[in-house]
Amino acid sequence: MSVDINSIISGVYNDFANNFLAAIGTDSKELLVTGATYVTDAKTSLVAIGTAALATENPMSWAEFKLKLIEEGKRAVAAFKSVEQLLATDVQSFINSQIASFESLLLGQLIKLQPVT
Amino acid sequence: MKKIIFILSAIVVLSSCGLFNKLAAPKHNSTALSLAQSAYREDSALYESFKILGTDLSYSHAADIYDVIESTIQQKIDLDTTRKYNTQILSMDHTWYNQVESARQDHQRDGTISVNHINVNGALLNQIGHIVVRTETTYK
Repeated sequence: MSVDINSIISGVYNDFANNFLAAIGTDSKELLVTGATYVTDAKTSLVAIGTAALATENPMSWAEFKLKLIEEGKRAVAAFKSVEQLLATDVQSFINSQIASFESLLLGQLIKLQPVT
Repeated sequence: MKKIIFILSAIVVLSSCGLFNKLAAPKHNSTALSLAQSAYREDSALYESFKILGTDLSYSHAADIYDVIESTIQQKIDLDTTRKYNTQILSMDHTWYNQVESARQDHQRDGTISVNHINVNGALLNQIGHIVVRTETTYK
């Protein structure tokens, strides 16, 4: 019985590649939503900080204005960490499902290669 | 011979599957989400009440509420410390805790909270709370 290994592996690879590209497409959309949520909230904070600094009565001191900007900067870091965590979680669950799928496809091919007794 | 190869392949496949499960990144945790939502509700309610009551609320009236919010975030930090691959979520938790403490100190220094601090700290607390709640919600 002749076995076309290249064809078997190529079929497994094509399935993996298509799933991988589809997962990146889905993740990109989620990351954009996370980014959009962050910039909307950042606008509110920056407007509040700017308004407090430029208030005609009891304006925020320059030192405090800088401190609040630094605190806002930490929000930006947190937003990036959120995206990073989301990506890490998604990549890990993608890898787990792909490994399971890869195993299943290879096992299926191995079973087919067993001689009929 | 082929049967032996098949059995060996199956053993390798099954053991690798177990290994990758152990490496899984943090997953959705309903308790962590619930704690994040509680802290978010508590600090939103506190700053909303400042907007309604104006600047007359003295620090002594709000001190207990800051304690409750910090305690809720601390409970989340304790829980997140036990999760795998928790660097990012713990960093976000600490940023949140530090923001509550910064808002508390501003209020304490003001005596009765100023309009600037109501608007600025309210927005900053809302922002970090939103980020953490969203992160916990999107875990799969």
